[in-house]
Amino acid sequence: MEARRGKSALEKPLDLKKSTMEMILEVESGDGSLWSCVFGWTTPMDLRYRRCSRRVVSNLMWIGGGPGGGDGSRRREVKGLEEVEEEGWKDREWSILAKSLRAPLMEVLMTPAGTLHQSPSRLHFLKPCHNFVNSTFKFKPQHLYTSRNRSRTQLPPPLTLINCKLKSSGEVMKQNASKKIELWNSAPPLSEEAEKNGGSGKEEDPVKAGSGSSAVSRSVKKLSRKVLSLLSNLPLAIGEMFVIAALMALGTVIDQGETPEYYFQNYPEESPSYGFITWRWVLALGFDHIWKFMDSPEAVRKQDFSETLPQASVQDLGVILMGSGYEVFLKGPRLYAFKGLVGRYTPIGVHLAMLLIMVGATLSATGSFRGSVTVPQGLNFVVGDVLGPSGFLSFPTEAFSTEVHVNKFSMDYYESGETDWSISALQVVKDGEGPFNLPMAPLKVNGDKKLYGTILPVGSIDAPNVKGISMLARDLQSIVLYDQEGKFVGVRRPNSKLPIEIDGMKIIIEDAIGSSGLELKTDPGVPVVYSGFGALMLTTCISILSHAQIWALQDGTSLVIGGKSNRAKGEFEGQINRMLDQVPELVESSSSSVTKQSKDMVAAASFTDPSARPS
Amino acid sequence: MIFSTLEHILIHISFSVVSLGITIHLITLLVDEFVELYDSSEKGMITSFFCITGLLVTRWIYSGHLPLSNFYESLIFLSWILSIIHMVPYLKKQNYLSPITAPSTFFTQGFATSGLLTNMHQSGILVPALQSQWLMMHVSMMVLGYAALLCGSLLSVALIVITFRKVIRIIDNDKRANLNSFSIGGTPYITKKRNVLRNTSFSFLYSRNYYKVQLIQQLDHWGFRIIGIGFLFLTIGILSGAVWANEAWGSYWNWDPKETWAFITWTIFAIYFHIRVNKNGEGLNSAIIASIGFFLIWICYFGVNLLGIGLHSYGSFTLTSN
Repeated sequence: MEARRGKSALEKPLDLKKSTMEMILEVESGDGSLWSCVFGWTTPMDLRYRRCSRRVVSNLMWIGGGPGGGDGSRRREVKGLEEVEEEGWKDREWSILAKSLRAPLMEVLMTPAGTLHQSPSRLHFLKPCHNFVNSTFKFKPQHLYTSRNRSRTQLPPPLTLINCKLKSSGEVMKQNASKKIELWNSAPPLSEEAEKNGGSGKEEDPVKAGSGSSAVSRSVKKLSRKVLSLLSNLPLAIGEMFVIAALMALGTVIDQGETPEYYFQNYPEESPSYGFITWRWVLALGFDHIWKFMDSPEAVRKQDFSETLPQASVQDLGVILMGSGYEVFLKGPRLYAFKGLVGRYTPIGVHLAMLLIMVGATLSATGSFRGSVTVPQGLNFVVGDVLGPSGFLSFPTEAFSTEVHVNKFSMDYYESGETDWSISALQVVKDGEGPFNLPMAPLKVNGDKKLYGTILPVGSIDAPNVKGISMLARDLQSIVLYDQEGKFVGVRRPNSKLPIEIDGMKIIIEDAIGSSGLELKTDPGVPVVYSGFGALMLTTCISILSHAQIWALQDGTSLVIGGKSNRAKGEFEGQINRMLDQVPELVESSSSSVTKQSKDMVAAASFTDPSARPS
Repeated sequence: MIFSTLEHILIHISFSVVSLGITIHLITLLVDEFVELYDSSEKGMITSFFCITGLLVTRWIYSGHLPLSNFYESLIFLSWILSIIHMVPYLKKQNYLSPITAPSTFFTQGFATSGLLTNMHQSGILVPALQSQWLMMHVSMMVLGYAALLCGSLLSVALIVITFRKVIRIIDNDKRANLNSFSIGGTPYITKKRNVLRNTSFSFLYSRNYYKVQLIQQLDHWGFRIIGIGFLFLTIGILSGAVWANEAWGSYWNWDPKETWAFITWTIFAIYFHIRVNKNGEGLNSAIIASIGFFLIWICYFGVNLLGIGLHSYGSFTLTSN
């Protein structure tokens, strides 16, 4: 009896691009037809497949397995494999079985890591290839019994296993091309994954690989994939962001950058240190698969926005979409269109810009120099003396040996005279001698005003009470002079050069010298950080633009359309509706193929090549 | 002198007009509708917008710098931005934001002109650290960002309230044991009530009011858009502030309280966007995050000033009553 294999719209072929190995089970069903079912497995990390496979394996085990093991509550007594029962199976149940059997297997069924368990009665359905299987793969039966209790009553009786072939994917492709199975009408859609048949298998063949170095490389690959999937976990990222926010909030409450004694005083234990640096992981926004055609009406209908047009053709839709500015890709009955590609990739740009900022901040923290100096007017200082390194990457540059000369210190005043400054010295000429620079010191006064004072000692300095002429300055404009007894003598302006007689001395106030306090800093990370800032601003701007994708599928005479947009969801629906209104409705007066297709259903129409007609 | 009188007049006109508009709107909602006054709140907001524009221009001319130097002025600016945000959807004939922005304008103006801040009403001289071209860009962007984010987070609060209103009513009705008067459709409603109390997902809504579901979706959508705009402005504001700080204070990030809280606000709204990546994050979960953002914005904008420390301290003040 010829076994035929085909695909329906409900069942999806395997993604053999990803699978490393394949197993084909050919089973003979109760009514004598031969089914061949293909199993392939992909990498262990693919969780979607794992869920499927439990059900698959449970079906298989239930079919072929005996009592014992697992949770006894859900088992059902099954007959031995050699017996084949005819119970009047409907096509529908076969379809369910076939579909579930086609789902790709995972390591749950065949994994290099598990252990093979005993009781041959459980696994005897695989007897013909038992040694084959046993040599390279092991089983993990403890998973096998934990499936959900799903529609057990519908499952078929045990099948007779005809043979079991292990194939690499290349051979399978050749086989699949020749086998087709006609299927039924209206099996309900179960949750399925998009699997693609075709494509080449992986380069290495794990069967031949055996052990040794390739096992190591496989485990490394497994580990790196595990790490990557762990890192790109979205809830993890959200949790990390919460932690960052909470730590920052804490940081404003606790004073930063003080000496340890301050903290020992105020808080009994250690405090977060100044300027901690946090890292974030890059969130991959699903750009490992950029886009692909959607292969079934159900998947298309699962989109945010979907619609079915009863009499339409996909080419018309493509033309209309192109007119509206979409990029359209048409392949057979399938269509994919997008608009605004930039809106899809800017979130990546945003995260890259943030990484750039962090790199720059690290550079700043480790490679910068800081220092501050107060220099009176007219004096020099060498840049390099003043700065101190702040991190292990601080390298002094040539600029450090420059000498800076303070030419002038001047202040612009408002009418109210409010600014911040300090007076460094008073330059006086005494009796024609000088000029002398008398340093001025700030005096403590109540209130906001500042007062600077200096004294010109008269007489011997070593005397116990040094008397002298005091000069006070509230600002650089006027100096108030007092004599030795502290009596007020007069006020002079520094630039007037008017002499004043005090105690027999002629004093000319030449100048009141302000000193400028300078803070110096060199920071190698600043250009990087600024470029990061610019990139962040730009990409955040752009990411407001929306990106829309549309899938469409020609389903017999009707057209199934689905689409999604990541920003302007409300307007997107309106736009799509307007465009769909423009798609012309096809009025088919005579086409026998149309009626035939509508009878033979969904399956063949979508995927098989046009030459194959269901019989 | 003329300027300060003018300012006085303008601010009082704008405040009273806005309050009138809101009162009329409330009366329309609760009591009765005056057909002639149906457009009054929109016109009132436009009037208020022009008044505040006049006020800001006056202050600018009088003091020679952009009127954004202390908390009072930035509050006036905030209410100006809110009135702009109120008017923009009105021009597009979609008024989802008006119940949020009009009272917000009202309250910010009220707070600004209240007795708590009278010592800041005079337009003063800019502190030297603020005399820079950056003032215009950084502060205006920040206030724009705050305004938009406030609107968005209030929309999310509205979403949460509307989502849970039914549950609250159901709970109340259970307590009163008055089932019949509540159920409009008869028994199906009653039997479904038990489920509603147990699960908090959105699914129960679909068996209820279609319009309410539509409203919630629209609120969600609008909140998303406006928070997106606000986030953009907040980002630009923070980054321009960092660049300015590098020039003025020596380094681009000093862990100043105001800077830090702005960054925290930024982070919370980034969390909002990341929660919305998943389909089931939309709706209620993201709305909760955005409502947290509302409080954070007020802490950042207002609360930090009360502390009076840090490099932003010229914005600080003490709340005194005269």
